[in-house]
Amino acid sequence: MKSTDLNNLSNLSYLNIPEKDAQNFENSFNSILDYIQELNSIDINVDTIKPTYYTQYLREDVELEDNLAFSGDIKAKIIDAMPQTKDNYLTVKTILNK
Amino acid sequence: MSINSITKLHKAYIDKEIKPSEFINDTLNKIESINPKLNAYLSVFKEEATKQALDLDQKIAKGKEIFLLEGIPISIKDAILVEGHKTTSSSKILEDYTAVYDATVIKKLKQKGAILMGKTNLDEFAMGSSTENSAFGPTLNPVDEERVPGGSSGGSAASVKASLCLASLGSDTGGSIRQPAALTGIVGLKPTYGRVSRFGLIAMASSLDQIGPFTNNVLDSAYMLEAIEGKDPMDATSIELSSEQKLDFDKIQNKSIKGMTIGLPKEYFIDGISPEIKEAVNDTIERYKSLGVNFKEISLPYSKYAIPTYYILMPAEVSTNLARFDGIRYGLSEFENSKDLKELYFDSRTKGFGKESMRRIMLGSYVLSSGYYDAYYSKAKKIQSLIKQDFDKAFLEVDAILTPTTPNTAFKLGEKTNDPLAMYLEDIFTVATNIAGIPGISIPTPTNSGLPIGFQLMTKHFDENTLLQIGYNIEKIS
Repeated sequence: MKSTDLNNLSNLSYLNIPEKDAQNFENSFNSILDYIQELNSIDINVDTIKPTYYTQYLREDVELEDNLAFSGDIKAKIIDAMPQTKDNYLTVKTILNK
Repeated sequence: MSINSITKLHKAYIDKEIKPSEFINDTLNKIESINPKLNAYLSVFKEEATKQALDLDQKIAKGKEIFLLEGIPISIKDAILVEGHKTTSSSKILEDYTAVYDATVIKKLKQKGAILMGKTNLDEFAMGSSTENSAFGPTLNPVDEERVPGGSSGGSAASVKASLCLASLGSDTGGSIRQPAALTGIVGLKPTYGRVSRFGLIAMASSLDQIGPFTNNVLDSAYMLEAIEGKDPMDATSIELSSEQKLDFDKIQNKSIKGMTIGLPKEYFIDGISPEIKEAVNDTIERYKSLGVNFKEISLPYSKYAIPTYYILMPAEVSTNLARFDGIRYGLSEFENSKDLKELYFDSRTKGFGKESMRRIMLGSYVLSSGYYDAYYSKAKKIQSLIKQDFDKAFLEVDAILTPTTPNTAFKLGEKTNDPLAMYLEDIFTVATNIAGIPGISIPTPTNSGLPIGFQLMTKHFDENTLLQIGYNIEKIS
């Protein structure tokens, strides 16, 4: 991995990597990625193998009378936890340039 | 009064040898005295615990029946939501976040009358094997305070070991219950994936995470599991247990394990294991043989790929799950200091996440990115199937599998913090269990080394009865 790759990754992840830590991140990524390459030494063709996924046991699509987990004053509590609100709406910073 | 098991404390309550308020007050005093140095608890629910204990005093005085867990002091990993209390996941990004609802496991413990003592320290978002990645400082190992208690649920393990509670709930994504249990000398149980609801657990890697208990003995783990398990409509991966899968305490406590066969995977008894761990595990095998258990060498050939597979699957899910921490919906926000939405994301996340979280988020973004998805993530999901098949085949021949829990005893604080890969390899014997979704338990084994050592038992999916039965039987003769 090169420093340009690190920049691309930090951008994808919405993270700023401080310059003083960049080399350290790059080194650790390279050693982890080298280790992960071990999967390429696997002795069989994995193309035909089905991946493992856990079954989601979904409930029937019916209207619920009351959501037990979110009853009472939960809406007010959630709004209260938001960093910035206006008239019970979540406020965000400018999205489109003027 | 020194009581270190749930069943003994319950008996002491109903025999009126000790009042709940006395025991809880004594425990709170211990926390006040020991915790400032140990840093096992991040927050303590002193007022609520005291009030609940006083109420229970009156209930017992009136001769009313009480549940087994009623009045039992229990700590909770700070990644599990408890309504009205801070839940930080040991991250600055959630430093001031107060949970607005209870996790399902918390609801269940409350229904059983357990006394929640507080929230315990962890590696940030459960990412680590030493609890040194916490934004609120490391937890020390109560056995040797120069050493780590393991992680990520190190605060939970330390709180039980130091008698600052009788049980704790942690979460295990790659060994985060079993490894700290081994390093502190207590019992840690990771249930089968789907046995316990994850609703209200701050997700790290949703397809691998599972909540489970820390206790001082196997039977207490069984009681804790019975209290928290079961299908939950709020977690679509939780399972309705069949009557066979439900815990059978008669089997666990009274049925002999004579004639059972335990597998010893040759890939787990490797050169890198420390000599004292090899010796302790061999002693355990001999003790099982004295109970009439047969041992058989087995092979789990794909388990050597477990760590590289884990370090693709886990960060991929981490990068997705932690995308929700954006400075907008909750937690740390740079709202006032940023000029637009993008800067708000970048500044809030950079200020809020620690280095290991950043590393894993970026690693996840890498393995999921266009051009690398098939080479990494897609391939790892297929190798996960091979690892699972290894276990499925093995359990056709054996009742359980026994391995060391860790390759080393507790290491010194700071010893591995600059070498992420060395830290990742501490989970070498535990990650395959999560990848396969099977249950695993770490049980302390007698040792002369001075530092605790644990051995790990694994059984097939939802066969916690056999797991706990085999564990309980060795404990009886320890």
